[in-house]
Amino acid sequence: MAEALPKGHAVAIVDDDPAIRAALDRLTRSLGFQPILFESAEALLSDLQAGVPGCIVTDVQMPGLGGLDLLKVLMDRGVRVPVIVVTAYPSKASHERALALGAFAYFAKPFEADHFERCLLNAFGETGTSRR
Amino acid sequence: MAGMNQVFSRWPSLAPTSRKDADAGVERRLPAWMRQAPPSKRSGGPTLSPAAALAVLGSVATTLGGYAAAALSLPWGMAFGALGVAAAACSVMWILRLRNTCDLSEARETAIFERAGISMWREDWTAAAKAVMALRLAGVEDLESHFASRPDALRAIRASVMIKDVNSFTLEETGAPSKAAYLGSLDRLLPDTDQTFVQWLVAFGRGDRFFRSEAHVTGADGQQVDVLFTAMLPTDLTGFGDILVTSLDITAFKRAQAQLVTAETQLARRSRVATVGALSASIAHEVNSPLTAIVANAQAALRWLRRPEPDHAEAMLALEDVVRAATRARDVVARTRSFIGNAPHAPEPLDLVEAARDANLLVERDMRELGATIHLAPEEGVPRALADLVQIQQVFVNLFLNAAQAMADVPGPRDVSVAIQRRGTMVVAAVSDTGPGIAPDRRGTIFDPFHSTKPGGMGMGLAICRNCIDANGGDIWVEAAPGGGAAFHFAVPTSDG
Repeated sequence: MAEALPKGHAVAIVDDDPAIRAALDRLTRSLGFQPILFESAEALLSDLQAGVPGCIVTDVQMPGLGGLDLLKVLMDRGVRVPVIVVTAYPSKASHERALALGAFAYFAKPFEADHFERCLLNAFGETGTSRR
Repeated sequence: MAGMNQVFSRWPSLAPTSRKDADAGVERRLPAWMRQAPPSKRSGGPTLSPAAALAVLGSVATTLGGYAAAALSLPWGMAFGALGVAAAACSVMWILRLRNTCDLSEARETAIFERAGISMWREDWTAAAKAVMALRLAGVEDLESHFASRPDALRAIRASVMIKDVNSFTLEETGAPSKAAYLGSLDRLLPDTDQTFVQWLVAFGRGDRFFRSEAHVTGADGQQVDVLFTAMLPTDLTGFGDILVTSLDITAFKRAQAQLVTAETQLARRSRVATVGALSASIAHEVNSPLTAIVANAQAALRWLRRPEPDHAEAMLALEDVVRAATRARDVVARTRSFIGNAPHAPEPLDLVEAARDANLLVERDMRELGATIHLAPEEGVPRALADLVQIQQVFVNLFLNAAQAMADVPGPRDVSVAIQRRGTMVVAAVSDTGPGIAPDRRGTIFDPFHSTKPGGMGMGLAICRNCIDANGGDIWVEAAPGGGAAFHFAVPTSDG
């Protein structure tokens, strides 16, 4: 494995489903990004002191804080980070709410790897500097 | 046949319509009115006419007069003569008074008829009674089945029933300009979709003491009204020439009842939609999660393999996870199926004929709106089926509605015939229409979900039918009806075998 990158270049993946976490971990790595996995929004929030990731990919429906709650907390704390919201049960209402809370992107599971890749690239606002 | 002693009506009936002594053995015998010898003299009815009474009493008076004349030759002749004259005078006066009484009683009868605060009709059913008698004498036991397969013969009998008179209240209630609006054939009042007429004939054939049934009639002003007909039935053939029928307008009652049913149906439909919505949301979530894992892992595997130096180890791990997630998705589907399949299912011995009749009542309004008539023709002695009553009714309702809708563009009578018979260890019901039919190449797929030819149709009706029948260990299929329409058949096991 190559040398560790600073946390600002990492992609935080928040999903309570271990199978999806593992799959997104693998996909993110295959795309050349460095994932950090969290099983809940709370776990991500308590890790923020150690540094803010370059991008967050979060599920909507989770026990405890959901993806949209997470957006709200980040907004309240003034943490500015692109957040990609993914959900297995997309709805117009949750889409609108996510955008109102400043989500960077909102899409339905399952999703295309190409779409995911473009989103990550846009989130980092560059072409490949976070990739290895 | 079960339900033999029941009147075709949801109207609460407290009294039995036929004598209790009509047990299975006696039932096959002809009713009393058919066995009654026809009266020799042509009198209008059971009431003695004033003219006849006068004739009888006149002869009595003459005899009395004769005795009086003979008494004149006796010594006390004068006295007797006076007595005789007095007696004769008395008897004439008596006759006159009696004649007045007869006039009075007839007048009273007319007054009661005219002044009653309920609609009354006098109807001549002689031809219908003779037709029923001829059929019973020819050995026809089940008149309902007989006429179900002969709708035209039934219509001809209906046309032979004559309304002779209606009372003032009838005009008052309906606003008809004169009695002439009602007089004539009953045919003009009963729409083609009427299903109650045959029940009159059934009641005649069974020898019922009275008749009571709801009907939907076209009023003199062309308005359709719901009425409750009640009549004491005659005890001899002549009586059929003058049946007094009371008719109660229950349109408002029926409308309120229909609104209630509509409200209940809408409520049930809404809660069903809500349940289906919640279920599909949960299925979407349950299935989308493993699908997400599958897609992400598969794409990751592709990317690992497409690298200039392919990473087989990573690709293998990804593919192993694909298999794991696919297995999970399969389990979700299996679980959902067993959950839906566990809907309450209570097979019990049931009479398919009764189930069809109940279903008929459920779709009564729809049939009327679609101008269709359901004719039930069960075979004699069909055994009970072992099935869930609600599911079977659901199947009948769906098939009836489909049949009626299929004939929406057919001009003339739109008859839905329902045949029910035994075939080996199964009871088979066939619902046939005279619509355009189902093309042979579509007969295999027509029971698939989301298969619809109707604008705005969900295409779930027949799929639901198949589900219901499958759940009862039966089979459902479609054939071409003899008349060119569709004949939907379903078979369910008999309870005895």
